[in-house]
Amino acid sequence: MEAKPYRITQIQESTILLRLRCGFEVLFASNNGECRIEEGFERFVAAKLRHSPLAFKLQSEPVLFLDGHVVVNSLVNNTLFRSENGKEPRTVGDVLPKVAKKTGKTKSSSSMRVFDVETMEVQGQPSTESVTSPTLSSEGDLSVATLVKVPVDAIVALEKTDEASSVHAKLLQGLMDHMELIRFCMIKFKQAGKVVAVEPFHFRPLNNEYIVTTYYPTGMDETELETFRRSLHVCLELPTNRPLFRRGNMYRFNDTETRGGYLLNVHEGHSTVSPIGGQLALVQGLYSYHHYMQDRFDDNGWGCAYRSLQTVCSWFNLQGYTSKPIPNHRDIQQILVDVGDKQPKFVGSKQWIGSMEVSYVLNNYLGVESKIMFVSSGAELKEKARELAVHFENQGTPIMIGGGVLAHTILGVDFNSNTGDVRFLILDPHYTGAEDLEVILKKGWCGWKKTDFWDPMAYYNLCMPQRPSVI
Amino acid sequence: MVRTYVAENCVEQQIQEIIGRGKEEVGLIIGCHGNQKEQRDYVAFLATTPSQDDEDAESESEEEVDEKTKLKKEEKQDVELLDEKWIFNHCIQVSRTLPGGFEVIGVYVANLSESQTSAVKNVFVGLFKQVFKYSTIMLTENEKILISISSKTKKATFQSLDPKSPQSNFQLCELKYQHFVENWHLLRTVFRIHFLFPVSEELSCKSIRKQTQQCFKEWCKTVEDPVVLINDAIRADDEVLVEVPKDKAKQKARERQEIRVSLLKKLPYPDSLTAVGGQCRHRFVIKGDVSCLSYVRNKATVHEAKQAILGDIHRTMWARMELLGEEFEVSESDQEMQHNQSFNALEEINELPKRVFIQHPKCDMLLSDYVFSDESAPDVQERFKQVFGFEVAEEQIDFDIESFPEIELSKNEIIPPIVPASLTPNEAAKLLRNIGWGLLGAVGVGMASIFYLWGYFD
Repeated sequence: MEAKPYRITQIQESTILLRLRCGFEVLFASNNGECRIEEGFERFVAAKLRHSPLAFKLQSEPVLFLDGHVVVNSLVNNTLFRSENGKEPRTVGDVLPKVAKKTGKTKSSSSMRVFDVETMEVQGQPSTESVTSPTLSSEGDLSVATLVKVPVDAIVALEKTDEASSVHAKLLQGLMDHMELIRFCMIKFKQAGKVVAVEPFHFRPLNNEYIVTTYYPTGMDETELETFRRSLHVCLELPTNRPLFRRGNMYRFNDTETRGGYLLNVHEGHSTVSPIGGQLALVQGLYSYHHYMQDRFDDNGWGCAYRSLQTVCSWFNLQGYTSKPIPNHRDIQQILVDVGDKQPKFVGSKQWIGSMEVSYVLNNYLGVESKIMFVSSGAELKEKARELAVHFENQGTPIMIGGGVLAHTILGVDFNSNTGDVRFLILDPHYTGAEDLEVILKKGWCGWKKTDFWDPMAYYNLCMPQRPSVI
Repeated sequence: MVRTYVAENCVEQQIQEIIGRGKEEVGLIIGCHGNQKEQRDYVAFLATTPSQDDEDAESESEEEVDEKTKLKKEEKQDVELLDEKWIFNHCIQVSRTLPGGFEVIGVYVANLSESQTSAVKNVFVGLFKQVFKYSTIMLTENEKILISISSKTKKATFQSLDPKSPQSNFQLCELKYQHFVENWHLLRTVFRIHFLFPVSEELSCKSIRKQTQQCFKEWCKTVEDPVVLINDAIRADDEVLVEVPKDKAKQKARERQEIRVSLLKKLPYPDSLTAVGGQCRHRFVIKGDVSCLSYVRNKATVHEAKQAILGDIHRTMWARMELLGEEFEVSESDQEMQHNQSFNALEEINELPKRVFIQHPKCDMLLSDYVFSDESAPDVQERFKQVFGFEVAEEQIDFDIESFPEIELSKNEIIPPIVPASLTPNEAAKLLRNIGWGLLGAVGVGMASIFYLWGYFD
């Protein structure tokens, strides 16, 4: 097996992914301050993985993959599976539960089915050929022994038509393969002769049809890992101007529609067909929706720009550019005082902010530069449609727009270059209700607006955050 | 609510025999506590505690015996029978032989004098308190029974008391004689052990016996709440173990079934990833398989079956570790006396005694005993005579359930080739044989030290 510090799993729409998350305790001995990692692994793999029988169980279903056969709960009144004619299930499709059709929107990434699998050690068996009674032996004089908990997060891709009896071997192979990977990473990141703990990460760069898996040392700073990340970018021929392999970029298997209680990408509930025959240019990646009254903070009437700024910060967080938390109103105000833009009494007040302040905060807090666009009248925005489309195509960041007495977030633009017709996808921070996706979509708190949405009597400033060119 | 007891017919027989003997006696009651809801327990058989006179007689010279027995008879006759420590030891011996599902559930007394009768409650409570403190592997903390037998009245009364609330009084119970053991289901599994226990600096200063006891405690933690397969099927805890089709209910419900049990231990994703390191003087490695057996009542749930088989797994290892620990204690003190040096357990391999099954002559269940490699049928027979008072025929002892590992010795050198610890001792032996290492037979007990260095730890 090639010594690569990562693994690739190809996926397609029909792929069924089994995700194995488990942990092992591996003991490493040190000699003269030098940790014997290779040795520790070899012994562990030989003992635990090759000679001890392992079984794999679907996390929430009574389906067990043992060496050679599959056990499915076989009680008479079991309604989960009925294998035909009472025979043992033949294919993977027979064994796995059918997924109920989800009502409402489904993200494209969720068409691939992922099942969590638990790993188990077979400690007790009904009978074995010979039963050799135990011995107690003593091994002496170890200098320093380090016990490391090794987490494994392996994914194995299957098709519906694969043989059910082959699943065990595939999962075991996946596990062994990962032990190789972990060993490689531990040796690579060894510090001062000591073994480091590593953690698994999966990535799906640019939403491609494959998943990259690697292990990073726990707690190591992103800057220290940059060289390693660059090599991943290069090996996989991926652009080196945007982060794809930071911890924040990790691929989330569960089709979670929320993060930290906030709704993600609420705009995806809308159709992507343009009613004006135009081209859609939308925000790329993930963001969370921030609006009035969230976090039990009453900012009704004054906090809209702050909320829009929060949405922008969430974007940089979710795309892995930063691991800093989304700032609250007070944090934002403090930053503006710190950079000298506002007086100290600004903190705790209910003063509005505009796109300039938003750009200062993005700069100071996240190191993000922004382009500021000024339009003297709301009616002019129609003419800026092309520029906005270019922004979404190149940068793909949400735009904060402030003007008149209101602030909003622009998530996309629908532009027909022939007719000149334009629509704007707006995320409204003035919403005061609960995280109810249906309401948000139906009542237009996130929705496509026509050019008359903008006040022709007011001037507008747009803050267009620029992606830093980092990995 | 009045507790009911279901007792095997052989218990009735035993009680009659005790009445017939007319002597002062004390002994243990072996059975099973039913589930809490039903308030019903099961009595399988009785075991008479051997009297201390016989024991003393063996270990002392004749003159001393005469003196002592005289003294005893004169001064201590009354309470000698109810010697808590003595009964406690008997309890340990008995508990080691019981299969899963069964435990010591009480004490019986026969033909006690006035002063003895008044002491009974204290002894009863004291005994069980000691046992609970010693180890709950031996038995569970439930209400225990007291059977009082009198040859004069030719009667036996059954009472129960929770030793943990000694302020309350004995409650009278109802009794019913009925065969049940022969119908109870039998669970079998072979449990594989591969356990590493680093002995900290602090612990390595204590006796080997204490070290093995601590090792056992830690091992117990690795056998908790496994996923259970019953006859190769995954079952939910609250399901009834053996489904009986309605039409054949009456007949089938009374038949014993042998149930194959598999136990799977989850290997969860670690919630904390910090590496733990430390200096350790040496490490214990326990490797091998144990044969486990337990009984459950017909209507048991999967959960009860799980508890029963886990109980047996714990108990069989406890018995083995204790027996080995006792050997260490003996040889440790011998060595100290001989060489005036502290016993060094480094670089040794020790066999734990293997399990043998013995058919109970009256009750349809299998008891166990543990034998070291230099023991055989007569040793087992003698032990059973002492502990239970009955004779066991050689054919009733099954020596082949487990086999001792073949252990290889290095003749002169200490550093053997690196042998992965994953191999069972049998496989290791084969490996070594193939690469030309010498072979010396395993030697016995107490001196069960065979110098051999496992090259690896995992």
